[in-house]
Amino acid sequence: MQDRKRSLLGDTVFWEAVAWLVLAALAFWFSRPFDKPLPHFSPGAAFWPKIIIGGMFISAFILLVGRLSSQNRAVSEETVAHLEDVPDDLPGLNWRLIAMFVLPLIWVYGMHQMGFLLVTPFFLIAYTWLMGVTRIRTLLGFSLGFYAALVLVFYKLIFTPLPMGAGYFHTINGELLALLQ
Amino acid sequence: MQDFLTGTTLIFTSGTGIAIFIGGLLGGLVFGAIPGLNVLTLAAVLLPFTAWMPAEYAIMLYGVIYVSGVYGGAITAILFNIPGSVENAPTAFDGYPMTRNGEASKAIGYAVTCSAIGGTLSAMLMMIATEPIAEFAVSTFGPIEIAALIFFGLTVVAGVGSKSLAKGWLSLCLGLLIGTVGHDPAAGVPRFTFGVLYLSGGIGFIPMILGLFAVSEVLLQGQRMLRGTYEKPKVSVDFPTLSEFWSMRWAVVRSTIIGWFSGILPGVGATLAAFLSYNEAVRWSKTPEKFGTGFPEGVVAPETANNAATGAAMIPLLALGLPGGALTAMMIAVFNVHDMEVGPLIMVEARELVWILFASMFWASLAILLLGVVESKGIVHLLRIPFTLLAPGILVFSTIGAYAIRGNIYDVYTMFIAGIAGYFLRRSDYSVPAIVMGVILGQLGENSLVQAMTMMDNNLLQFFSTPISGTLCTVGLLTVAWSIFQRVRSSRSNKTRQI
Repeated sequence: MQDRKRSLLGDTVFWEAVAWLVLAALAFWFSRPFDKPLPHFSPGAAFWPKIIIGGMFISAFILLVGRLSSQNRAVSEETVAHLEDVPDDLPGLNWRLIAMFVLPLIWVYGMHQMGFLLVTPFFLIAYTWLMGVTRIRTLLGFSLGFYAALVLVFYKLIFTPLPMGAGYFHTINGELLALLQ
Repeated sequence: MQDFLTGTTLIFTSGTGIAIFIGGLLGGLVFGAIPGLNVLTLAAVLLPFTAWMPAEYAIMLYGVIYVSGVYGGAITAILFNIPGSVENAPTAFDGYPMTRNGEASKAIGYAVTCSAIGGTLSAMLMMIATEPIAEFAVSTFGPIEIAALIFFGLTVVAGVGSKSLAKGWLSLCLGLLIGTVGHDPAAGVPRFTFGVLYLSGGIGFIPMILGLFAVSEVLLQGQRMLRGTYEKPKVSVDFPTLSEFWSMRWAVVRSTIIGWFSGILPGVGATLAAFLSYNEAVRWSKTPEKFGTGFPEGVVAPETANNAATGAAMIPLLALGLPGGALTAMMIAVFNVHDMEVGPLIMVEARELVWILFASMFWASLAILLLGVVESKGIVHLLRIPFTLLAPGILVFSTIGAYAIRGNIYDVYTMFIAGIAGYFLRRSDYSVPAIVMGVILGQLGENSLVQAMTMMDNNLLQFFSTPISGTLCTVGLLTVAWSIFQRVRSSRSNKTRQI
């Protein structure tokens, strides 16, 4: 009994089902403010979301029950085993992997504050290095060459509006842009 | 025939006509392939210039851009998992896995040939039957039938891309729920916006798609690179053989019909065509479990259908003055700029111009085949670029694509959040295609559902009161029941084997 409880608590599918049930419950809770009849549509704005939430609840419940029953556990294990070939070794997560996720978000924040033109070369160098390119010549050659091509295509040829940054950086980007165009 | 020849002659007898035709073809292919910079961008940029062009060249240019742009987005969807536009998203479901399996050239071959077949057949049907079909489709397919059609499409979505039916349904529900963020279609009541201005406009399709496909792919492959398990896709230049094409004949016919009828329906067009066609390919397949793993029919179905929708979209546009989407609406503007009004009289008042449009779309579809055959041999070599260099490039292109649509930085955040979520969902065997189809078909479906409910006095049983919607709903429900039965049966057989 203790073993079964312990194995259930360490089971990702069990926790996934619980997470889906929580999500369905939260969605139901947050649909309450607009769950009122409308003048021309009496089921109200929550009609469609409530159908979806119902579907989500039933599916999560089936997932949970399926996981709890030993018969489906075998099927599920077989399924998971051959589906995703990414090794599931979370303890092996290293800082480079975390950086792979975080760096783009920092870049977007930087782009928002300082503009696309100023931060993108640093992002390109950092991400390329993160992906494993360590030769300085390749790293700089690719990053700066690619950046130059981006500037040429998006600023000179098709005039795509890209983030200009805020405050002082907006002015700097504006001047750079005027220089380019 | 005489009209068609006249239209063709007017396009190809002058250097200017040929130059505009080729320019439109290449422009559509390039803009269609760059995420965020779709053909709408190109069409919008060119619109003011059409005032200075002769009417025949202006309308021909838009016909060519429309056809080539719909195909262009398939290339990046297949090679890099970046759909150029929403209607190319289902192409990535199997096109990109084909690339990973070393069959990129075959996938492009299927895409280009089927785009050309779909577009050409559609153009021919458009020439033969514009007026009667337009009247039939527009009078028969109201909101009730469209809602039923979308329900019918959604019933097979859960089976795509996940081995677990419950996880497939959860993915679909997640997509549908994401599609409800914003304002409700009945009275504009805010839903799940939490007072955030950005959310009141709804979560954008393109950032979501770019995140779920391109960004999550970079993260997954990046992880494999760091762990030394990354496998570079093999580059092959094999074009599909004639027998392989022949084996796809029914898929092509079915997708052409679906694309054609979806294209006629105003406001739905190529996007619905591609998604419905993919779903039907799964429904009719003897091996539905192969979809999502690099199955050629998964490329053939959406690419045939989205191009078949282009010709069909001209029918309500020309015969009734109803545009099916933004680009066809711009075509109305082109006609207006030249003092013409689309509608039932256009075939009389500007017959020559209409036939130039028909001819240009027909020849553009055939030209795609020629260009595509050459392209499929050459463009696959892009896969030789090491992933270490490709990854930052994909992220930058996706970011530009996400930002350029509305000039909103939060679309870029949305894209990366969707990418990170997509990474974890894909690792846990949830279906990214089902999420995407849920978002898109859910939004289209809710609009029709609200209108249908109002017409039916809020009685859902009324869906069974008309032959078309009744049939669609019944078959849809049977599909759900069948998929559950199959799953229960396979679980039981597994249990028996264990015993």
